[in-house]
Amino acid sequence: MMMSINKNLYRVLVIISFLLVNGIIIFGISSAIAYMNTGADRSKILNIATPQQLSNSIKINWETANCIGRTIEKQTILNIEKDYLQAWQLKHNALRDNNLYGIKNYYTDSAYQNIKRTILSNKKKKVEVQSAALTHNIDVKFYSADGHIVILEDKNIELASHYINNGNTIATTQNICDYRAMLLFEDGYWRIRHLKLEKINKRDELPTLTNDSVLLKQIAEIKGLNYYPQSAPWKMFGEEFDPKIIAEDFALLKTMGLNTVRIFVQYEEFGKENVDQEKIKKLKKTLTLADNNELKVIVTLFDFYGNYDVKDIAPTLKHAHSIINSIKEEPALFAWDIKNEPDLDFETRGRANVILWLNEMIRNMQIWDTNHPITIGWSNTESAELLASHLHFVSFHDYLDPQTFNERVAKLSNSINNKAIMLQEYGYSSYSGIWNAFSSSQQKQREYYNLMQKQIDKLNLGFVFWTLYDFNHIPNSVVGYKPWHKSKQSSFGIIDKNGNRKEAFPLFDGQ
Amino acid sequence: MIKWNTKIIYFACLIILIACTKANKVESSAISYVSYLDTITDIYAGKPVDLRFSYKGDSALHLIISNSYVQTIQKPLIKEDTLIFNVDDRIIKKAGLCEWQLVHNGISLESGIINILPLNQSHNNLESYLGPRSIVAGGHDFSMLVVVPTDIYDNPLINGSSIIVSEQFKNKRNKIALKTNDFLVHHNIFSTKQTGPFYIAAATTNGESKEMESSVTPAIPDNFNIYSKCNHNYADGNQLMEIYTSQIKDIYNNIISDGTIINFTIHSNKDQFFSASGTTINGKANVKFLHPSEAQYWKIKAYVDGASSSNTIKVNFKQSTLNYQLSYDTTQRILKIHSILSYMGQKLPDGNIVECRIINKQGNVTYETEVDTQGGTAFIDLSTHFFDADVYVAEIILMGIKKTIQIEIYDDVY
Repeated sequence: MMMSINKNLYRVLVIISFLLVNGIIIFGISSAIAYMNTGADRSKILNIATPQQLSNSIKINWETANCIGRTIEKQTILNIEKDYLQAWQLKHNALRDNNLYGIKNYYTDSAYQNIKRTILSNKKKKVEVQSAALTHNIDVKFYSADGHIVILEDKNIELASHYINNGNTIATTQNICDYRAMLLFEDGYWRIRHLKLEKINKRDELPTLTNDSVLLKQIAEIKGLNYYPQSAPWKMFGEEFDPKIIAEDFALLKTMGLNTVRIFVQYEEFGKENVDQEKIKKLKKTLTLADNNELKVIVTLFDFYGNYDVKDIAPTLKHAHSIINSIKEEPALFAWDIKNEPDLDFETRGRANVILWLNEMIRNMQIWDTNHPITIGWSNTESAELLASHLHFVSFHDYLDPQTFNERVAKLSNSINNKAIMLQEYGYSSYSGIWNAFSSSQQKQREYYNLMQKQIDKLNLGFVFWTLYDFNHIPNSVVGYKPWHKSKQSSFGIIDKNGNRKEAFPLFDGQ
Repeated sequence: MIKWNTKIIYFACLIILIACTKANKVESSAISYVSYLDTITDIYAGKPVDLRFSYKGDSALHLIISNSYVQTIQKPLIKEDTLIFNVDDRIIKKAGLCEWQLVHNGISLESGIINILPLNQSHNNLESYLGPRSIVAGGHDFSMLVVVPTDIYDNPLINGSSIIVSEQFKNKRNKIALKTNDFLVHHNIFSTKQTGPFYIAAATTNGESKEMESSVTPAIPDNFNIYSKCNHNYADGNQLMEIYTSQIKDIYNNIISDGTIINFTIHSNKDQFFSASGTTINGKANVKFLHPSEAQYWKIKAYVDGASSSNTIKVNFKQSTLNYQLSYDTTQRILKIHSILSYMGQKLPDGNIVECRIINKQGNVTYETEVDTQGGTAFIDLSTHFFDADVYVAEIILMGIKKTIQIEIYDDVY
């Protein structure tokens, strides 16, 4: 008996190893063939492939009235703009990757040397510099009669840089610089021949905002929830957008006595830097529906965004600018929430990156819309201290023990000089099942809310809870793919998946 | 019992999951005091710079530096209680501002800006550009000279650096003193009324440019005259008439460029147009035309397209052939043109064209041919062509004289 089992075992082993060896051999041969069949790209014979897609999000202003020499043609300006921006972008790429790719096309030989030497030494020292120029204001000073030389004065370039050594961010700088550049037209490229840094100013600190008594009162009066329709959680403005459902939900909120909803604008879904006007229409419609039901709206931008690279500042600014400009006149709009829980990205994206990005957003959004307050939806009370003095009011999320809620808020309030605070997300999942050892229930959710509402009342806090509905499907991008996270996330509502009111519902009814 | 076991395993799994979280790394270091020892504001490019700081405590400091082109990070040399940053010579060779910041744990402790000036006193390279290299006489057109003087490190000199530009045209020399602005000086050299090359050079006290050349080319041609030259004025279809221009000049009396194309056009009294073109050498162009073969009256004019034109000349050609005879050989079907007498009573020169048309009774042309005269006669062989037996009229045109003869064609006996 034992012998025959052993025999069979050996047989199986031999067969499996035979199959494995065969597999490896076939894989090896096929990769070798694949490698042999990949050759030089024909387009590389000609020097036509532009190494980088130029982003159209960098603001560039031209002034040509001061041009001496020949009058500059519009077409030439377009050509120079393309090559000059490309030169900057490639230089930033070179400093980031320590790779001189494409530099030779956009800098003359002697200018190229100036970059090359430092890049080589940076590579050796494991130094990398991530920079981005956000704006260019170009004044053409001179254009030669033969159309081959141009002198540009590039004023107030907003330059943001992270200096990184061995993977650690050493410093972050934000400067406003003036450059003077001489470009030569060679081989069909406007190449930088000379570049001279002429002025450096530190970027102004963000303005400090003090408490506004009207706003303080408004925030305290906020009673609301984070809203997604039951059928389309986290993709409200997609194909599933249905104004009828939203109108019904908003009418329900009105009868419950709530006065605010927080909604989310997804960065990628809205078209990144080139905002999709169809989505804007849907967003506007939602705001109109809210206004019809006397609801105020907090619009959270950049949902599902998580890059924060300096290179990404310009396109994200353009995105925010489009959205803000299109809906800032809507009567239902109450406030801008720049980003949902950016502090959760500190570890993966680097704290310096995130803070710099938020800084730029605050700075520009304050200019674009002076009528609506700006906040950031921090994930906890500790993070909520960040940038507090530059925001109109502070928002935080709280999913921790309700018993100690009071203390957390008191600590936050102290550290931010009693600035207006809003509890922007809190809630309790009534999910009870295998993934949480049947540890929760509607009863527990009711108890949680009961306790929280009492403290909120006492603290006179504006609140926006999470959320109206239980959801059937939670996208992976929200809490990841782990089922214990997903199932918990599905049951934060006060109305269950079948549309029945849960035990906690009456707590919010008739506010 | 089983229930308990599964519960224990379940909780054990939960505990393991919870335990698998990442611990935060804590960094701590302290710096008690840093002060900047030297004050460096303006330096000349290439001069070594040491930034020195006295410090106490943690020496994990970095210097971040940026200049006109690049950004980098440097680490210090430590000598007792002094930190020395020997600024990279690649950085200090480039003119413009150089910003530095001393950083410790992301906090800027000291910062400053060094203004790096170009080394005007060193040997200067003068990068010079001249264009366009060919301009039109008359003082409206110009070549622009652009000179970008740089120091030994390829930095453009500071604004207001002097440059002397010299121009040489024929024996006249001009010197102009200019000051740089925005990296360069530029100077427009307007064309003279005279044509010819001019030479340009620029120099600073420490360097000189190469020699550059641009040429003043003639302006557009002015109107001109044409003349004709014939051996005789008979329309013999044999002699050549030469038409030539006067020396064509621009309004500043410069001979126009060689190779300018002159188009000659002829309008005859028979409403025919002829044209020919010639290119100028030393301002003159000529073409030759064959005399017509019948009396004609020509009006001739020449043009430089789009620029100027000549006067119109008229040429009259007299009839050269006065008369000829026709005879027809019925048996051999040969039509003979003979006794062609030219203007001096001589035989008509060879090669004049005889046109012949055979017209039937209905007035339709049944046959058409052309032959050349040879030795004062011409033969038209009608035997090679099929004709119905009938009476035809042969119409002959020679040197503008039309004659007809009635011919009879019989059935071929062969």
